[in-house]
Amino acid sequence: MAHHSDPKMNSLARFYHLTSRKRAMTVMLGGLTLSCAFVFGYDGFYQKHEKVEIANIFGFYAYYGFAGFTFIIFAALFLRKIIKRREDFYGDQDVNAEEPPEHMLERKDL
Amino acid sequence: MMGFDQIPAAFYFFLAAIAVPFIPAGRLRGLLTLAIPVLVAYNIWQMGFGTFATVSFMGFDLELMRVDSLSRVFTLIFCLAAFLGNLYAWHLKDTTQQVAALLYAGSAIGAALAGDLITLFFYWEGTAIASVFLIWARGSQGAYNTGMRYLLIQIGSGVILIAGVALYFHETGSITFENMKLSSLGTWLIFLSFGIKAAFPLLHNWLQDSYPAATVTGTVILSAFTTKLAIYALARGFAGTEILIYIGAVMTFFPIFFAEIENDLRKVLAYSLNNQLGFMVVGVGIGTEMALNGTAAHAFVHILYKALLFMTVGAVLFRTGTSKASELGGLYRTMPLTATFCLIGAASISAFPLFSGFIAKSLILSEAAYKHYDYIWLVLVFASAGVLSHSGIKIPFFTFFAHDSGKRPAEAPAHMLLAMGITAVLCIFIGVVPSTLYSILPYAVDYVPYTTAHVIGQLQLLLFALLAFGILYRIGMHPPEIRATNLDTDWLYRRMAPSVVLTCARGIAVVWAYATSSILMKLQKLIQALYRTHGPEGRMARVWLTGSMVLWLAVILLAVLLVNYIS
Repeated sequence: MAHHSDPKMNSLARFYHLTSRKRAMTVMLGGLTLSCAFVFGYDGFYQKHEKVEIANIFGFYAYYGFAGFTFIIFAALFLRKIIKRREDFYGDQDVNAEEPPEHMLERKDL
Repeated sequence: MMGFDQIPAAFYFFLAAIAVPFIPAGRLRGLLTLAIPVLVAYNIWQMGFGTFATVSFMGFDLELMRVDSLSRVFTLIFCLAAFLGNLYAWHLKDTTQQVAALLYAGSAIGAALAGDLITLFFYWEGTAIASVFLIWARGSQGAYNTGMRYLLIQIGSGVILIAGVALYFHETGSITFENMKLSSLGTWLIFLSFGIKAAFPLLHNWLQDSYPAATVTGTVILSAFTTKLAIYALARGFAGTEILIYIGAVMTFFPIFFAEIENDLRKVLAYSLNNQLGFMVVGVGIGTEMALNGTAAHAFVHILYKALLFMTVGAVLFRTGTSKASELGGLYRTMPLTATFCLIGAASISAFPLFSGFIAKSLILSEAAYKHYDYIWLVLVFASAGVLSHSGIKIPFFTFFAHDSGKRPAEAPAHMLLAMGITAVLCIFIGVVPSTLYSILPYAVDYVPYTTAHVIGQLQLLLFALLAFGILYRIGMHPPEIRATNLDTDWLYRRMAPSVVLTCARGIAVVWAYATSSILMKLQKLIQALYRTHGPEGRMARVWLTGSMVLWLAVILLAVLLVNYIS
């Protein structure tokens, strides 16, 4: 299996490597959906006393979190269209366009 | 004998900075850089509240060390940040960076303990001058250019500060650093000076310009001091100034979008820093004891988890030579510990329960709600979801997971892992046992963070935001990581201002050329006319005959007689 193929990985890395399994994304999304359902439903089991009136709506934070995140992504995509320029826009003597100097690095590959 | 309380805390850092070049690079020098923050923190902790180390300077009584509940918490976290940053930089043999780090930390601590505005000014400029060497130490032309821009802005902030202080002294006769009202030009200038360092909207871009340009270790040090010193200064000088609530809300809001599309992960963290400062500024603007507690608590935990995130990205840069998200991915395979620390930093900044951000940020949000700033509260909750998007997800996911970049770098060196490990433990410890942090806040804390409503609400916000990410990523709607430069306000002074100046210079040159040629032409005509009359061939140069002279005299005489006769 793919997650056992790299001998350089230690046990912690092999644990993380479970995320690269073929069905991992589906499983994680499924688990996340269940967790979301749980915390959403939990709103019915306690009395809300939020100071801001709108926050007393059932599942307010869930709606707000989902909608807010989605808005951020689409707004960012739109913003990128306006402000994106090539990497060396400020010339080749700009940090963004240059390679980091080797003296401050200690590259080491396994 | 002079006791510790008579020696300003900053001086210990300065003395160590003087000593460093004379100590061979290695363990002894490293130990000195670690011992000084511990010594200073211990002594500040032991010292009672009060004003110490007062000196006279040009007729002013300067209070070099004022220890109270507000300055103490900032001093302690500055010492902790200096310790962690120097531990992370243990491998350094670069004397310049080590001296700069000590001077920078010392200046920030000196400023936090300053009891008057003149002392504050000196340390304020000290942070600017010392910190730029952490950028220049990168040693490239790009870093030099960035450092010059950074220095101009930072020194400019100091110049505005001293101008404000002079006017303030003229108006009030006082230089004491205490709460001020925005009622005069002097206080507005001081406010503006603090705002520059706090990275207010439109004054913010020095932060994203400079922090990613510093060295691997330099960025970690930079992230702790300058901006949090500005937050301290605002809390000390302008607590309860309502405009700060709106400024802070904007600060939490706009960097989210820039961070989301930025490719350089250190720049992403710089935008994230801007966003987190916004929460603190809102707390200062509300200005109640609870809100100021929230600001201090948030500054404290933020220094830790932001340093942790900068450390993890720095370790990746250190090993791979890049911090660009487009070049990274899948590094958990060989850097699993760094990945774990990054996840802890991400959970902390996202304010997951049991992590430090959860128990600090909520103080500010609760107070905003309590004081009926409903729209501000909505912005802050939205910004909390935004924090998750760029710092909670983007940083760890695109660095250590996502697609496999094929890179197999070695794990970070032991001292970096130790620094990250200690910081990560602190992030969890504070989140699990909030009373440890609450006990050192400026005012007594009457707040319970772990209530059902708070935990469930926060989990709803974060988990549903995560779900949105999962869905958008799955359907390919999440912004891809691509190599690019995204314009920000630095475009104004890096591109627009030079081109405007150039255009103006060309225009002035054209007008000047036209004006001078026109004047020259007229002058030439005048000279020619004069030449015609006064030149060797001119009328005035002729030799008049005696007869004609007599004739003219007769004419003039006649004219005089006529006038005399008529009158």
